[in-house]
Amino acid sequence: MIVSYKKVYIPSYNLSVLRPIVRVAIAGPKQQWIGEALLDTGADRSLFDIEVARDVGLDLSNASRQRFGGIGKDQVQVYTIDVGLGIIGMKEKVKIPIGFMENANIRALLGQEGFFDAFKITFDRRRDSIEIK
Amino acid sequence: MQKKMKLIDLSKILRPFKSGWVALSMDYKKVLGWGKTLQAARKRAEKTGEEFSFYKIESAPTIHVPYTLIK
Repeated sequence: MIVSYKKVYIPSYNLSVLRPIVRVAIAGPKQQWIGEALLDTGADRSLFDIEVARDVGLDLSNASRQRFGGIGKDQVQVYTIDVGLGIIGMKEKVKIPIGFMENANIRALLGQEGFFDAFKITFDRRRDSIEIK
Repeated sequence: MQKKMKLIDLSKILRPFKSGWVALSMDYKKVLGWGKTLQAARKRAEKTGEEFSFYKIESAPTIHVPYTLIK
């Protein structure tokens, strides 16, 4: 499947940037969440806002806990469980570890462990395209 | 040679929103719901009867950086 980069607006900087964003679905006992997720080759794991876990009804009481950091000194608490995930437009569904973060400026990142293990992804920014197999 | 793909430009429809969640139509052409919380955005979007996909607006002044497992 080939999808295009998305041009998104960042209000705090009043600028628009191109990002490799794909549409995914997360399954939960309550309902399904469909949303836009960033393909993030630099993230060790897939990370989502904790509101997504609550929305689909995932139980995080037995989740493993780790701390994650970005480029700065700040660290955030992450609650990780295995979650069923699919890319909209593809048949294959995978079960991968996803970390959920509270009060973070994070929406949905698809990272190395689990996600990039399961899919072959080729970025071609010159043509604004991403191939996913 | 593969042609350049047509970009999906969300910048115009996202511009009015400074924070929170938006529910996008599946063709990326309109915003069907918005809310400070995901639940509020879902509630508004469900009233339209259309399918939707969520996108969270970045409220903090950051350019995206990758996250790394520390411990």
